[in-house]
Amino acid sequence: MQDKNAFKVGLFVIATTIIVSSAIGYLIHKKGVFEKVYTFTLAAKTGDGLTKGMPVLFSGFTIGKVDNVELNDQGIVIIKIKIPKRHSKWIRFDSTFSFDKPLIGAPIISVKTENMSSRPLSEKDVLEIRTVNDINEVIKRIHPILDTITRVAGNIETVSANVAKLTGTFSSKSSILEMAVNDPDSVKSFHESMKSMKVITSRLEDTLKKVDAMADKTDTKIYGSEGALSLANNILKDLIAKLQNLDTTVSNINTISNSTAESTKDLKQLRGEIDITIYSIKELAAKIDDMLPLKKRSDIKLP
Amino acid sequence: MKKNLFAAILFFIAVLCAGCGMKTSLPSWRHEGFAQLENYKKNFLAGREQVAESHYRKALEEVKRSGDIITISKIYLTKTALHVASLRQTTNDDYLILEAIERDNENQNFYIFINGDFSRVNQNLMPPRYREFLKAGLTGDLSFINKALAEIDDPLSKLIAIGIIVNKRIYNERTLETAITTASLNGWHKPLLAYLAKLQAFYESNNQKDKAELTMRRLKAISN
Repeated sequence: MQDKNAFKVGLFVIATTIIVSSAIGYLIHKKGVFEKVYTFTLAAKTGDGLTKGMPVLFSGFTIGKVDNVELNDQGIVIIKIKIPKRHSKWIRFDSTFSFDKPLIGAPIISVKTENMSSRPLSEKDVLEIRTVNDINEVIKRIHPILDTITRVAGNIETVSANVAKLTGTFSSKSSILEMAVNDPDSVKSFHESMKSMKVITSRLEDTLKKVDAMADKTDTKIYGSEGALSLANNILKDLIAKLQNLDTTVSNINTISNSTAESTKDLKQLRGEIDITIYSIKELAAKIDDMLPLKKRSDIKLP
Repeated sequence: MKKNLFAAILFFIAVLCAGCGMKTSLPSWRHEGFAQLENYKKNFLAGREQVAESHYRKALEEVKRSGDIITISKIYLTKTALHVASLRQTTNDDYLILEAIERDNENQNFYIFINGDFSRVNQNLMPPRYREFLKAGLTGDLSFINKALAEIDDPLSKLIAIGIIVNKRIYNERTLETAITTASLNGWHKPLLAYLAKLQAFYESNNQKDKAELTMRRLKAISN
């Protein structure tokens, strides 16, 4: 019995140990502890800001870190960066490394690779790293602006001095007009014109009042119940009534004309018959004329 | 008695036959044309212009049915002659158009005559009634002219002759009075008024104010 229990305990311990070890092993593997790591060498003129453990970024993703920073015999800063195998494909011999010092945030090393088909960087190669200092760039740009501001400030001072002089001059003038024109006589005559303009304006006002009153009367005379418009309206109504009567008359005339036209046709026919009769009588007369002896010949002659 | 009656009847029949034999029948358009032309003359001279114009058109209508250019020309010349007789202006375009189509010597001669170009007139082609007047007109002697005018029997021909000579400004009081008398006797109102007006102007131009006044009054009295 005790043997069985001991066996079970032992089995449990072993199983547990295996599981834990597997888990730990799995974790370690995932962490890349057993992954191969490449060490690349970079060179810089200055190590200012470079620290161990500084991340190496490619397209914004951390692919490695700075392992070591040291100075060589020539005074050049040698930087060792460690890149795991899975990320080493981004590092090519023509990749550009830059040390970025942003205004806000920690400095980083960033990698840019234009040509992914070029040969991978060897651990023996040494690439130069470029330093991008944002703060210095800003300071460089600010300098000319500051110069301009200084000059403007100087000009403002000069202008202020002149304005002070002008103000002094204007304060001695009696009006804005005199300030503008700088001729007291013309200013005086201008004031006099303005006074007469006042008189003219008041007379104009009176005239307008009269015109207004006249317009009222005219309004009544035209638009009032006994006004011209009303009268015209009445006349028009009367005219319309008369025209309606005339219409009836015209219709009657039309009827008469039509009857007359019919009669005219008869008249034409009658006239035609009369003409025929007259011609027959004339021919008869001519024949009788011919029969009468010794009658003068009737022929067309010159007078 | 019976014999005389029988003889008279025979004579009448003979005359009738003779008359029938002498006369040849004229075409109806000539009869009609002549009648209308006569009516035109009568009414024109009487001053009834509208009626006259109607007869004139009918006369032309009748004669145009025949297409006889020479006779149609005579009608146009008759109208011109009547206007000359009444001292009225008129154009000769109608006649001239026909003259270009078919010229007749007698018509052309008459046309020259009524336009007063006596030197170009062929006396032999003129109707006899105008020949003495033509001779007088060639001389230009007013007394000779007046004498020749008085000898023209036909009143219309006389008036035409006077019209021609007045247009040539060869006239005096006697010439105008002859015209007035002729028109008056025949009741030709239109030429009467025209010659009275001419006489009045004649008196005024000769400073005979009384006669001019009298003529004017006469004119007013007979005007419509």
